[in-house]
Amino acid sequence: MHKCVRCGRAAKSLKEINDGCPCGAKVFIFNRQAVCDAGSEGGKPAGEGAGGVATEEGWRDAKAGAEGRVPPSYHARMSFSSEDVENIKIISKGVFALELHSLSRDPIVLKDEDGVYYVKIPFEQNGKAAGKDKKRTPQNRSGGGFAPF
Amino acid sequence: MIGRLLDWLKGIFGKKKNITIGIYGSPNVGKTTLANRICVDLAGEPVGAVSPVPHETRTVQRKDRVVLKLKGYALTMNVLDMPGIAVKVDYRDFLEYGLSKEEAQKRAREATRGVVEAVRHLDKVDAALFIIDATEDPYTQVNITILGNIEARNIPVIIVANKIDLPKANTKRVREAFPGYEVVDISAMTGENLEALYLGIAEKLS
Repeated sequence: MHKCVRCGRAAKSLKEINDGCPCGAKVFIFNRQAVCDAGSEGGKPAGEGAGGVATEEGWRDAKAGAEGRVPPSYHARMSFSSEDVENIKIISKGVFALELHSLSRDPIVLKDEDGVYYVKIPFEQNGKAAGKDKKRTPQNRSGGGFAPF
Repeated sequence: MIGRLLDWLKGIFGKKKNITIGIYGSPNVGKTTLANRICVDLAGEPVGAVSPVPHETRTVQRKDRVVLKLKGYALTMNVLDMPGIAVKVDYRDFLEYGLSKEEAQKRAREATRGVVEAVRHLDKVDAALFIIDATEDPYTQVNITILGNIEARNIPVIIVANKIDLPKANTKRVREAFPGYEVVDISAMTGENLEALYLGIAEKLS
């Protein structure tokens, strides 16, 4: 059975999977357990044999969802917006989202929950002090290290 | 005589026109109070608001062309009051000051952005005043990490042991924690010993 990632509504037909859910979302999760249940009851799940889920994201979501690793809103939570100050998000236990561009120039900022942040300040930002290389002491030229904590 | 002449010539030709000086430290150590004191004393107007709620300064506050003239020294500074640097920002710390959960979470997000901005500015300042609350333990992760960053960039720094007007102040402990650094004891609140700080700045940066 295919379920909409946004509203959770079960897709009733292949056309609905191709065209999108009435709520506007176009990503569906394929629920293997529901298929088995439906199969054992002799029913046929919507979209079966029609080429699987609608999109590549849907495949990844479905696979992750079936394994119980991440919630359905996986991709929305994995993305970063301009409002975000963190460059590492904890998506779930053992699953992190990294904002690589920010990590290359800023301190590490990890968001634990809304309004709780941890900041790791490196001793030297890579390449940022390039204009001041002449002034640096030899022991600090390697850069990139962290405070001993 | 010749030495004084050389110093005079160095003063005319050798110094940078504007020195950008950053005021760094943990939240609520008195950075904005000191920045206001300096800017009111030398430029006639403050730079930012002071509050007992931590992380009141969440963006870099700037006052340009602050002129320090003292005992033959003359220095023009751009004073940057930095957001307080912390390794953890938790919205729950703000709730006790009467903020709603949403306000506290917003403040936490802005404060964290301020920490990042302050760290980025380490590459933009020519000199730093590093403020330490003399009533608190100076052996903190923020103090050691930020001083390490300043040292790594070879930025001239004066450690300012603030709040000496309070009975719990222990400036000896600050000196013991950071040997080899110039430490000036002040009260930004009362203005006590500010002249010694001005002289230290002038001597170090002129």
